[in-house]
Amino acid sequence: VTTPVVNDADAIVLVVDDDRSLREQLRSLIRSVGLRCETFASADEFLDFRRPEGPACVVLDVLLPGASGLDLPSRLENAGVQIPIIFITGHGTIPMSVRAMKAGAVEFLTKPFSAAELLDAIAQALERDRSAMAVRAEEEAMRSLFAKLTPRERDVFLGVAAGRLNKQIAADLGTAEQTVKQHRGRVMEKLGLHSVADLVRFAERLAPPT
Amino acid sequence: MHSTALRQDGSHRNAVEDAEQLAEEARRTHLRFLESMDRVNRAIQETNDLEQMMSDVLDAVLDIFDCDRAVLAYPCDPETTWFRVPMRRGRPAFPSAFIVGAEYHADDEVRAVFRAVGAARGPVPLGAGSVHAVPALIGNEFGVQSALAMAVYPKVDRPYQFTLHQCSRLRVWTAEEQRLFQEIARRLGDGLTTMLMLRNLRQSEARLEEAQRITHVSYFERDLDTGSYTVSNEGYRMLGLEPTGRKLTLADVLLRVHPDDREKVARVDDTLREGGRYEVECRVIWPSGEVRILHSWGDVVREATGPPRRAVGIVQDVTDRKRGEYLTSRVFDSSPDGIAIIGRDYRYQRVNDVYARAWRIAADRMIGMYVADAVGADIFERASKANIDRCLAGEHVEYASWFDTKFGRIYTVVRYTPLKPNSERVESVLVVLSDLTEHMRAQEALQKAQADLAHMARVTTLAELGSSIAHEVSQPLAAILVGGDACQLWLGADPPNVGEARQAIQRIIDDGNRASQVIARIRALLRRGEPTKEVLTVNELIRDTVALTRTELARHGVDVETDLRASVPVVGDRVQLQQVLVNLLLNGADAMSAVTDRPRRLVLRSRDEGNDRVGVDVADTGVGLAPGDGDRIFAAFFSTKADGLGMGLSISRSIVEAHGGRLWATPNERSPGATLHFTLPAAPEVSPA
Repeated sequence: VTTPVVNDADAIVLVVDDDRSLREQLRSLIRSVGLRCETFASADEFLDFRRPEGPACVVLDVLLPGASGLDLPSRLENAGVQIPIIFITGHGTIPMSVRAMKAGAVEFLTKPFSAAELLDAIAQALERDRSAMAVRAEEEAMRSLFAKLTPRERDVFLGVAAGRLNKQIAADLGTAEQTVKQHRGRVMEKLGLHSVADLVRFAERLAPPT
Repeated sequence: MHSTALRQDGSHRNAVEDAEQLAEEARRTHLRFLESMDRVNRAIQETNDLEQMMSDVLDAVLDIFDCDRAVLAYPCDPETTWFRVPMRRGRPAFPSAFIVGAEYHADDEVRAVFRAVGAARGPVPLGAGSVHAVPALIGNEFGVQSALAMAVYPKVDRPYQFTLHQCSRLRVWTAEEQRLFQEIARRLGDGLTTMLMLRNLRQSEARLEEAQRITHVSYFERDLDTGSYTVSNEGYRMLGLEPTGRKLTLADVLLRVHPDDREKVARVDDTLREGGRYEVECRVIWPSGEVRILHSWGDVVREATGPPRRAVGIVQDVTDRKRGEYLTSRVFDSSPDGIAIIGRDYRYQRVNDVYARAWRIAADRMIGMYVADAVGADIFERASKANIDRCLAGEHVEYASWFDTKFGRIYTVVRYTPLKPNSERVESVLVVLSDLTEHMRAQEALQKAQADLAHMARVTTLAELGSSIAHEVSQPLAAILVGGDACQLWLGADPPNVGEARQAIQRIIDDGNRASQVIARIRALLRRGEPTKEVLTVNELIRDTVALTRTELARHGVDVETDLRASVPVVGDRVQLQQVLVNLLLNGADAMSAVTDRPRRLVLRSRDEGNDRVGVDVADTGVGLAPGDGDRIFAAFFSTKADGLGMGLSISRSIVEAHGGRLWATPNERSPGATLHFTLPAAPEVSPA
């Protein structure tokens, strides 16, 4: 067995499988590579669990009693929980794997699978969660900076982000061009931006195009 | 009494007058005697009827003796305990004595009178002035004061007692009266003799006629000179004629005889004329068209001298017997079963062709043959002899078995029936042998076909379950692989974690067992071949089946609940019964596939039903039964599914019924869905080894 390099004390793997034996073996395997592991026998049990702070991923058996495993991603999304999911299934079909990927699967493994396959998938998923967490932290910081703007400064920010000239923005807001210039300077300062291009990128990340 | 009065009146007359008067009186007495006897003779001769004769004679006697009653009692026997009154006449003033024909008890007094009367040669007076009293029975009951009795002796019967009663007064019977009475009694005896003989003759004739009618036998006489027949009544009836008493000619007879038999009957005449006896059987055709078979025997009556003048013979209607024999022989010959009659000497007395053919021997050669020579010493010693012996001891014996004969393997049912034609002793044994080889072969083929069909259905079912079963196997397999890797990682760690590795290995072993059980279950279901019976419990079967279908049912979103209370084991084929349960579970799941507004749930229950049956219910919450579906769903190829073969329930029912059970469906009473029920007979207390 090639031991993937995933010795991360913060990381946690969440296993959702109704088969007790497989659940226990997965826990053992995951713990043997130094990761923490929590197991759940059903989707409902899992949904009661709060997402950990640190990097985490889910190993999910598609065929669960009660709700199907394939329904779980949308239920997590509705609950505003973001977490990478590795699907495992007893009998994978192509339509099912397509559905799984669309539902946000990192990996789709068909039983029986090797430990290496799973651990690679777990490492990848944790890495993805870790960077997602970094992105989320950055965006969180951007949002707190943005929150410091006055309503007038936000209007000016949106006008600049939309590519309008100072004169046009002043006309839109019914104020003087000079006043717009002053607001614009304070916006750049408060958000730590140096160019119009930086402002446009900031706006895109804050409000992803729908 | 007149004479006594006259004698007293004449006491003062002279001797001549006396002598004249005496002669005159004697002449008158004699005349009266003759007149009286004449009246009695006429009464006897004027009728041929016994009762009429007795009645007429008694009436005449009443008048002649001027008495109150005249009675005939029978028998005048000192030993008798009873007597009858064949006839009684009386004056209107004294009618109430004895009922004609009724029987009375003869007490000691009556018997004493019978004894005295029987012993006396002449009349015996009873009552006043006599040594013999009137018996109390008669005196008290019927008011008899004086009586005169005498025994009457008909030659063909026991003696009668002939009695005159005087009720109105005491009476002393004069010698003259007694002499007249004695003479009348004798004459009455002769009359009775004639009449009784005549009556006996008539009775004999009637009895003969009756006997002929009952036995369908007729007596006839043939006058060889005139050619005419004198035939009894039954003889006419046999020819389909009304009995007229008219003599018949040969032509009359031949007219009735079947045309084909006429020559044969006509030849009888020649035989008789040549002085020989004959026996002939012929058919006659009645006017109604009915054909009867008559059998006749006869012989000439030889005279002391000269040629025979007449012949006598009897005719018997043997139609019913012939018909019976015919039917018997038809049954015997055309029966699809082999029939034989075997005597106490183990030799065949009669066999039909079917029986003989079974042993490849000609039927006529088999008669008289020793049973062992026909069936083979082995079968005889092993089976036949013991059964024949039991049957000869009076027992009905029946058995069925496969036999290896020199002509191949045959399955026969053999029945032995004791025959007692004349006595209580069993004289022979009726053997009926039914060859059911073809039937059994067909049944075996049918069973094989059913087993093949059931197998095919199991394969189909397994194919339906395919993906679920793959999951059942892949689940432990995946766990094993993951566990193996985990184990390696724990052991490769620094330092190796043996405790974790051991736990992983234990789980690997458990999963290995789990996988092999799944495979064993599948292999069992795929097994083909003869159903085998074993003692098992339905609860175990239900648990196995739920395990096998768990994944498939989960895939359909179906929850399974069990409530297993049966405790009595059953006998059956594990694979087939499991097949039934799989079918019922999948059927239930299918019935719920369209259900979205309520839980899809299957409830399995088992319970004892009395001591001799076990019941199992499979209840679903599905669409339920359409009206009329209750039985239709068990028909082959009935399916509500577009892709279903529709064999599941039909096969399940035939499996359950082959196990001696029943399978049926009912709609749920208080909730949506249907319940399928089946019962199985409980295993016998002691399992057949």
